[in-house]
Amino acid sequence: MSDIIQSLAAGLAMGAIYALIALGINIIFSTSSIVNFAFGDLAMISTFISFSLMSTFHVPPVLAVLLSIAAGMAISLLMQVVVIRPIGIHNLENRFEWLLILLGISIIFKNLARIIWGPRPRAYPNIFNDSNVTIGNVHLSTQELWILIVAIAIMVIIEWMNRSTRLGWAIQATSMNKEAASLIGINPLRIISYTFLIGGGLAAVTGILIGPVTFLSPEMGTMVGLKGFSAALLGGVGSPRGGIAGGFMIGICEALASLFLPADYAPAIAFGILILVLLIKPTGLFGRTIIEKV
Amino acid sequence: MALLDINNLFAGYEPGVPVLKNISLSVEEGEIVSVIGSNGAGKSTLLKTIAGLVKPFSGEIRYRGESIVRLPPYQIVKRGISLVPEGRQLFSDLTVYQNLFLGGYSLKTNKSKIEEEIREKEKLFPILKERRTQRASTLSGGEQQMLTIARGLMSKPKLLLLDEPSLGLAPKIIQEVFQLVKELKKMGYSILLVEQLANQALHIADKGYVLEQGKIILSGSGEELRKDPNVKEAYLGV
Amino acid sequence: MQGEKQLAVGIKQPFEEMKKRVNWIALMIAILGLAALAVLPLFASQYVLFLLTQILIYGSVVALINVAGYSGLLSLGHGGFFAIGAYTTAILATQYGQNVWLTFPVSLVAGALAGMIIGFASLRVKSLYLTMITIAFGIIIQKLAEAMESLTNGPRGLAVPMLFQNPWTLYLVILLFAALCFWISFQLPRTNWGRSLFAIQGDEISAESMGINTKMTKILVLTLSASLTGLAGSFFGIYLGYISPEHFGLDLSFLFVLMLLVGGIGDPYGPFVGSLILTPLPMMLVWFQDYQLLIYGLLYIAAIYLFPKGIMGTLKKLVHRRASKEAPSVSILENGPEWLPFYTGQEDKSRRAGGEEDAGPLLQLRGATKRFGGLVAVNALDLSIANNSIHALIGPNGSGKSTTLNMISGIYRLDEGDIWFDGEDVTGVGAFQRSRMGIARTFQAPRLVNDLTALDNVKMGFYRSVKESILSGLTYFPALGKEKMIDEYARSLLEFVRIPDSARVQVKNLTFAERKLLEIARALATRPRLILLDEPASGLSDKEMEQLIEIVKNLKRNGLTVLLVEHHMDFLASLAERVTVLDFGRKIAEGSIKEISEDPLVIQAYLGQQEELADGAS
Repeated sequence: MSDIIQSLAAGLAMGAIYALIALGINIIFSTSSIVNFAFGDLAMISTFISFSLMSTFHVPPVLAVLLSIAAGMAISLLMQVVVIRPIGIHNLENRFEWLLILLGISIIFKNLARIIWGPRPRAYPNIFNDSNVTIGNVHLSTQELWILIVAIAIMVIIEWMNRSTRLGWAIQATSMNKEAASLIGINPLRIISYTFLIGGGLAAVTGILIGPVTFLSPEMGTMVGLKGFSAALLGGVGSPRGGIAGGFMIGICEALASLFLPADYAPAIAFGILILVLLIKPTGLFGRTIIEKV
Repeated sequence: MALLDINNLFAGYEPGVPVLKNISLSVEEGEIVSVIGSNGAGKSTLLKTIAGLVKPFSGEIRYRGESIVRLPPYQIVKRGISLVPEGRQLFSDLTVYQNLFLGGYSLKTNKSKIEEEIREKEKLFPILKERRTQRASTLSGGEQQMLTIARGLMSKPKLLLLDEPSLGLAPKIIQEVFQLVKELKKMGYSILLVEQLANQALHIADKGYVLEQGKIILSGSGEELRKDPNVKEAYLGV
Repeated sequence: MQGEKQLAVGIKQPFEEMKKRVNWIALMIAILGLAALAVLPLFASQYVLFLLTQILIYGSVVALINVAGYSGLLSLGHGGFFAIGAYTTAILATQYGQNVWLTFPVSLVAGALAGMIIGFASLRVKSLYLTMITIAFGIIIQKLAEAMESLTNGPRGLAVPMLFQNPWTLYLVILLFAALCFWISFQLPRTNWGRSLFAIQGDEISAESMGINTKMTKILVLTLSASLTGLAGSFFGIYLGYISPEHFGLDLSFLFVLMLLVGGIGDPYGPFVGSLILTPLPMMLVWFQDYQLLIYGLLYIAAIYLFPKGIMGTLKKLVHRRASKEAPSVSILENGPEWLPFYTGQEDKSRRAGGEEDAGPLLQLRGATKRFGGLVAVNALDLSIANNSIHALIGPNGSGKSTTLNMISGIYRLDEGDIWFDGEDVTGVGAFQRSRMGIARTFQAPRLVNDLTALDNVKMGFYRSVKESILSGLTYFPALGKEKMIDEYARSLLEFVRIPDSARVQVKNLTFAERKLLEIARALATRPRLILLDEPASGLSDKEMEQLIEIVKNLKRNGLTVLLVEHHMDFLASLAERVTVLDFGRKIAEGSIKEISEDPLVIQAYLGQQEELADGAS
């Protein structure tokens, strides 16, 4: 029994990571209809940048984290330009060029990281002291605790932004109806850029949070990114709360599965669940059905 | 100088397929100008072209003497032209209040100024005050139309472009909408109204144009057009 | 209805003979080319043989991805099918000591089963999400290969026994396999079934309206593609002699799609061109190893920016541009034929029906109601359309006309009421089955496949009306007769709608009016008894409209029943025998055009209330 609770707690922490990625993917998707496939790799690059800042340039950790978040945002904005430029903002949902461009970007990121930082996994300097916290008879590492705290804080901030800020409303307006949004004076491309900025920042934070858990390697972003994407799909792409729920579901399912099966099966299980859910409810658990007008 | 001047305008969605063919019209300050015509005549396209949603092939659109042909929609709003789109394109998951608030997005002022503006609109449309915290999608058709117009007014336009405000509304509500348009004129707005319902639209208009297959086939004062037998023919082909 | 029968049998002899001769020459060239490829390695080093084998295997898989892509799916999971085949052979041969040859059918079946699963997913999930599911699928397979150690030996991998002592023999087998894959991707677009894939890619709704069972077709094409990819995987394992999960990572699927992109999506030569360019690079250049993926990534993006249609597409465009300079511009014929081709059998049926005193209405709606959320789009509509008549449906914007057409063609299900066609209750019958029963339609904005020629678009319509099995289509020669028939029918249909010169022009280069006429031709290819025309006259010039009037009259002469939705009154005045007026989803009037234009309710719906009323309310 305590095994189950223990792995639930670990699953919760990983789930929070997937939820953050799903949140980032969702916010970009909501305005642009682009599913940022290179999200995990952007997280990886940002984490490496913070790593270099700390270990090579001896920048204080807090500043390094802030700088790498800024870098993540800048790279994300650059991605927006490269992806949207050849297509334009109006027909993105019906095109697949952006998916291919993003796959190309993902490959480039991975390879650049391999060239700059080498293929071997590296240990990420642990910013937080390496100890355990015991609540009842569940042990959580400080790292896992931090992941949960930061992730929940970010979720609250995003929820607040969507509910009560002008930017949040403009983002929602743009995602509901670009044409009507432009008629009231909103520049849709600018709002899309904002969401890419937010998404880039989220990617950097996510990377820094998992750095100490998974080690740093050029491949670290791929699986985590894909699972975050699965979380978004599971919850219904475009639904921020759905993505968060999806993230926790995948994290917990994975943790529970590792109790009964060898750890090697975990990724297969995460994606298996995804395919199963999509077959049963294609729009995701919280997504809405859209009727096509003829 | 007219408020809005359109000369020899050609526009459409696909290259080589003009929906609007050689349109010239003008709106003077303080006027209601009605453009009538049957389905598919190009009425909505005309308003969309003025608002910048459709890029013209050729021709000139001048607002207060300045060419606005190359401006994107969100810049045109800032100049003082507001399009109230057909089919009430509200932000359906946002509340009435949020819809109104976003209507003032182009003003770039602080929150309290916009809230003041909202209170003014709520005086004009009391029902919107009652529905303030409801989602736009939960309003009735007539209420949604009122909200769309109110949202269009939030950007403090000089020229209001109304696209088929009567569409899909019950006859009694339609009368209210036309009453409101007259009201808006009194408040100093200049209005370019596009309508299928020729009788009412011409009745309140200072000037009218009849659009058929993308061309203006008739123009004149509202009264003249209403008596013109060709108007009836343009609709019913009798 | 006189004389069309004799006219309908006019077959163009010279065209037929020319086509036959060209085919034989092509076959000779193909056989010679294959022979040359077969003996080529005998004059080259082992290394070249090795390289060529891999180029052919990769090229085959890319060709199969291309085939799946005909229906609009971009698969990034073919690495998964490939791995399934490779592991099937490796496990059966190495772990269980089976004969390698015997593992091939198992690979085919295993691949097919996996393809079917993704195929079922494709029914639920559309375009991009589907692509993402294929990615997830590829990862699952790779991870399973790593995890199931007892079978796969985990990350250490498995040895695969050789099939032949001489690698050249293996090369020959693989060459034949590659030729098969090429043949399928080359020949499929020239068959009824293949064209149905393109119809699905273009637009699923209009595909259903041509009688295509889109669901079944999508599953089938993925099953076919995945099953052969499985076999390709088996060959790959034998060729390498050893496989491990590392061989089948996400990067492999990316590489396949990159080859497709570079070669040109949709082109049968593209996959092999892409493989020829990209397979040797990492093998030949040592420095390339380190930067391989980086360069692939940059190539990916460059390919999309620079030549979105790939090398073959760009070449074709160059050739096409030169050719199109000489091509005459499309002309719309003043007078087209009055008869419809191939209508012989059909004609008797409708003539008989029309000849009897009272055969009852061809189509009948009783109390048909359709709601969208709270909005009642069509409210308890009764409508009957007499056989062999021209009936029009009019009404202001949003009055429910298009919804009614969508209910009749089966795109929308009724919330209440029922629909009868030719004495049968079709309320619960799906769109593609209604098309097969004889209801065809056009759309307000033409839903054609824009990248294909007008002729190919019309040919799609013959999916059901001229029967042709997939196998006979692929074996080509037995199907020649059918294809020739389809070709001729399609051309004469283009003549019937008076755009014969458009045959070889891509739809995207046609004018709006030509597209509208083309869509009528495609609808006619399904051999309908009732044709629904959704605003056929909108966007047409006066002259074009006159021709359309003639065409619609000819439809009636040929025994068809026509239901029009139209705003243009001049157009209706000279055509419609009966007009039904809708407002707010209800029928407010019905009668001849003269009757309804004097009806006060209709005048009010169109013009609005008189000013007295307006004043009264104020």
